[in-house]
Amino acid sequence: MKKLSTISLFVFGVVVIAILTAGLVFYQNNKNAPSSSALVKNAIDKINPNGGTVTLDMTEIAKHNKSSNCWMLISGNVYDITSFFGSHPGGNSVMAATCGTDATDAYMTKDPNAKTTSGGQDHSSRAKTMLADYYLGKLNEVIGSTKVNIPSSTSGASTSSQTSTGVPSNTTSVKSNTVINSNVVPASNITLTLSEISKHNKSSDCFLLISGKVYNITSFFGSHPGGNSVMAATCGTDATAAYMTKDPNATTSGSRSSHSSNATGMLVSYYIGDLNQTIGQQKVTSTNAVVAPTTRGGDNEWDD
Amino acid sequence: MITMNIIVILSIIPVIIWAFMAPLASRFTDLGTVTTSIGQIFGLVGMSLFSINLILAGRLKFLDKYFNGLDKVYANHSKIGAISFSMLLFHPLFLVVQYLLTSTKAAAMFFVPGNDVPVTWGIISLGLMILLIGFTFYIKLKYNVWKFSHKFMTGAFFLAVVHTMLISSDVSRNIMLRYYILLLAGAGLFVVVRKAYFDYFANNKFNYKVVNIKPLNKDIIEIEMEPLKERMIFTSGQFSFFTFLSNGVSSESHPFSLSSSNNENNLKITVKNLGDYTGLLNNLRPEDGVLIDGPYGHFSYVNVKSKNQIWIAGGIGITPFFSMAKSLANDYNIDFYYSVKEEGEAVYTKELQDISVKNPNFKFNLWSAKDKGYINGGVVANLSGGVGDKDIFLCGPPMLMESLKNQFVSLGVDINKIHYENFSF
Repeated sequence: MKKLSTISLFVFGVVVIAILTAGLVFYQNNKNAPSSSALVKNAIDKINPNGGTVTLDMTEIAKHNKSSNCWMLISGNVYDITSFFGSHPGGNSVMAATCGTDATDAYMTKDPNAKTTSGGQDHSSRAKTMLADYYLGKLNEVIGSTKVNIPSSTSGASTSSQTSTGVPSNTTSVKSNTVINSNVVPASNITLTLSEISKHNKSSDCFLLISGKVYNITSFFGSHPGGNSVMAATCGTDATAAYMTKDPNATTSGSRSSHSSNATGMLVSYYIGDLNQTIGQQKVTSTNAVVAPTTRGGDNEWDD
Repeated sequence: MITMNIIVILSIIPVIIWAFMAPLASRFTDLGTVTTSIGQIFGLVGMSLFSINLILAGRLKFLDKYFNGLDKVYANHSKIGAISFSMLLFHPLFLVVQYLLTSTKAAAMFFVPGNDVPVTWGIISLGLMILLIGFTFYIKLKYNVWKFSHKFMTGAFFLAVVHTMLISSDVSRNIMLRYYILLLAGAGLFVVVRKAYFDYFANNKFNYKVVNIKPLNKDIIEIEMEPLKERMIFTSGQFSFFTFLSNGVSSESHPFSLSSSNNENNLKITVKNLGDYTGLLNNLRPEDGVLIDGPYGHFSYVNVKSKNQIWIAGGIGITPFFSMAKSLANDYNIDFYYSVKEEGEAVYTKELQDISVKNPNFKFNLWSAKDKGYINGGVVANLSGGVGDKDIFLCGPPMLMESLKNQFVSLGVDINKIHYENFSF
């Protein structure tokens, strides 16, 4: 029995040391690879009329909907996990089911059919580290089409790319440098005062103030489960109480039920800035353009 | 043996639950899933065996009965421990393959503590196990130091249970598997805590005091003890665990065969100075207290059907036979061989000769290797007129017992008729 223990210990020692050494060497090599910010800069440089670019919007993501070509959106970030097939501890089929979709809920709950991020079990931090290897960009970010083909072996680099390139880590830094949309309009700034908001008071041009944040929900008309009219009634106003109570005439946020966290998650997509913040005009005109990262899956989690 | 079958079944049950949790085809689709599944199985079986091993370490009376002696329980404890340890070592090795398929870095991070809390518990647990197994097999510690160190296995086990319960796996997804693992682990921890309770807080042992220490030759002493309250009833040939409460002797318990018979009021053990703890027993003084946990063991002439028996003692292995000879009934036919290196080493020769004079069915042969060469199965068979239907009792150095056992088996003796005491714990 001592023999069995000795053999097991020997194999264990050799394998662990080999993997740790290889992993460490790999990590060192990685540091010598083109720096992360350079990679992203490279990708952004390619955004010009001559080079091919890809906008990471839902339409584009939906095209990559099979295991042989699988993109998914998780917490506002787009991943190409094609090369991960075969390595998923939970099996391929659960993963394949979410190809080409917003897999945030599925990822958070390990349930491909989940509709909320609650319940079930979140992936481990290790899984998150691995996921970073497959990062393509933020939702609606325009990236060079060559970047799409960057093999996942540049992993470590793209892992840290997020922090180093200053992708907004909170909602107030929306005006940062990421290229948001290809239909860029010449910049002219507006300030999101209450009087400015009140100008956008119809369903074809609808701003709302909710809890000090300004949302342009124009493109959401037609999608509201509660109907358009209740929403239209609050265009151009402080809709905080209405939003909290689902009652357009409410003046306090006390009674009735608030919107779900799911709804709040969707609302984030329409955020254009804080009250009295000055923002570029193009933010206002481009619909559903700015994705304010949710606090969940903040940048720190990607550090290793 | 039925007890071993029970242990195998107990450690296979979680694998069966696991197997029914998801279609097996989905668990064995490609390299990644196959290795992951094997890793999970190793984890489940390893943990089950580890739990069982804690139970085996609890010195439980019913185990003494079902294993035909606590010495066999400890022999199995050692065997199962090594198997469990090896499985738990391979558990992460199989699991890491899926990460290796993705990236070497991810695989390396798998072994680095701190990235993932449940995994970290597993890493710490395994690290502690490796250290303690090192003390057991490779680094020779003094018995009492080793024994103290080995108690930390319970700590390693506890961390392993925390790891099993926290990690998201089939154990967290299946309530039945979860409760099974918890139940088995709980039973193991209960037995350990129970033993610790009796060792440190409550006394469930027999209280004796030393009355006499008598040197029998230059290496061997006889320690005689008298009951302070209740007398321990035992069968000749059994052993007990002794804790001596004396300044000159370390306080851990040690097993010794009883050399007195149950007919005597006082208890005696006969100890050879092997240079370790046994040497310290020379420091004992009359009136020193003794705690006795026993009796244990199944090694006795009364436990077999045949009344035609061959007893072979090697060196200090004389002790259970001396006890048995003193309580022997006349209707037993015993050929007793007492093998020593040289005649001066032998003890109790006069007493044994007296018994053989009184009881003609008890034949005493002192076998000096210096004069007659090493004793072996063929010689015994010749002198005893065949060994065919006789039960054979062996007690002595492990090497001698092993070679005698093999010789008797090759002479056609049924292995179930060869009885021996494992003194190596």
